[in-house]
Amino acid sequence: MTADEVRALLAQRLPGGRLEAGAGLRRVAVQVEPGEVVESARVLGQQAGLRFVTIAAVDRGLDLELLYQYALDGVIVTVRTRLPKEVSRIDSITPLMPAAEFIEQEIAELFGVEFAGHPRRTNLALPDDWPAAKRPLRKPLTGEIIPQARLSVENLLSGGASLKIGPSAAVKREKAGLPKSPPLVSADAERLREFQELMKRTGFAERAGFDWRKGKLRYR
Amino acid sequence: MRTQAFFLGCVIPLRFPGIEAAARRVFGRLGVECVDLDGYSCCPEPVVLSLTDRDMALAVSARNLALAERADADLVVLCNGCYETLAEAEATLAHDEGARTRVGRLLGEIGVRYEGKVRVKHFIEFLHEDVGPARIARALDRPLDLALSLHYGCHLFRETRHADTWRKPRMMRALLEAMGARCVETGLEQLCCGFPMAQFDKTAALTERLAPKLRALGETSAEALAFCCPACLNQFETGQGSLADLKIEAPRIPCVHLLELLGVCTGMTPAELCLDFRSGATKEFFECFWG
Repeated sequence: MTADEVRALLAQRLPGGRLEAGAGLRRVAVQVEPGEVVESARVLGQQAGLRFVTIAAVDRGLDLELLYQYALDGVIVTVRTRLPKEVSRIDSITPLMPAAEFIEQEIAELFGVEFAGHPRRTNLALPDDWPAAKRPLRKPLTGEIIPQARLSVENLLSGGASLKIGPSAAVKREKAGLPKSPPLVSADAERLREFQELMKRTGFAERAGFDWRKGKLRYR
Repeated sequence: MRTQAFFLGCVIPLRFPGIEAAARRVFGRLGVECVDLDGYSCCPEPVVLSLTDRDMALAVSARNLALAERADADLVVLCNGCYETLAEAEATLAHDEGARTRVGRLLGEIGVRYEGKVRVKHFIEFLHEDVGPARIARALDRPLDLALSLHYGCHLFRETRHADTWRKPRMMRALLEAMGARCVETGLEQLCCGFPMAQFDKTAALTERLAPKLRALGETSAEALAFCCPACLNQFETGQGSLADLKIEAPRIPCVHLLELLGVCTGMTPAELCLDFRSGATKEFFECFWG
């Protein structure tokens, strides 16, 4: 099977996956959601006949990145996924690919990822009495915003201003004979959506680790 | 004269609305046509955020510039930090084709377009160049007639169109003199207020930046310290209380914004200047204007 044939297969069977540009003649890389990892193993292993090579785990600060490597006829395929550290759980591919048993177990012990459906119940790399809260290769959950700037970044992303627009500001403004709110972007829902869309498109909100649902950074 | 759009920033409208009220009063008195920049956002902050993500910072600035362009106005900026951010964005978008293309693409994705027609000025620069000290002096109901020391703020020294970094600080002094103030020097005018340092080491900022300036001011005849930057003003006002909490001796100095002084000289009341929320020394200083 050639790299192009693998790409075509992935595009057809994993429509949610994003094929990465720049891979060479013998390299294919695709980014998938954590929920698609088992399906990718099924497509590549059972349908295309690729063999499982290994999984590499990388601590990206906010997320844990898992890179599943498969190979056939000199073509190497990387399936990349990111697990938010708050979740740190993914379905095991060991039931489909028995060769993944040891590396999933190692990643579980060293990075604290739970592989749901993994058959092993005892440690492989660490002593069995190793404390569950202590994972040797796992870094604390943190993003690229320095502690001193975190509050203003939260305010910026949620309201478009570096300061929070609280009730005391409205009182002060009324005393000065001004409208309760300045003409900031937060005063207009449509404009605030436009501003927040810009922050998403720049990639800053994601890199900063902003949780849009909570209106806060994922770390403080 | 083209229409001006006020860029209020975040600190002035939310912490010091009296300065915003003064700007509106004074610019109206001087016959400058001003509009609000509806839907503006943080400039954004010129130090940490610009270093963290340059293109994001430029895109946010460009969106603000585009709002002014849509209103067919130039920007008059009331805050030193916002001035630096927006003036540098104006210059970068004019001269750096790569940045202009990347930012143009980002703006295009949210349906915004910026063609580079907006001129950014600090309010000190605008009042000096476009209105002029003499016209300002004529517009006042009363002169200041007091001795003031000046704190320019680091960002006022930023220049994107001229080599002379003292250009705007000199303008600030000329404006105050035109208002009737006698400007008193301490020799520490260029020393930072300590606000950026305070984010990392509050005690060092207070002892190494604020206290030396206050002590030097205490040796002069200055009745107050005049600012054109809301962050510096905030650092001096709140910092004096923090120094007292740390039992570090330093004279208490009233802190006033140049626009507040212009407001006083054009008949604004203490309520309009929102002085309730200011330090005791500052309130006492302002009382001399209303008896």
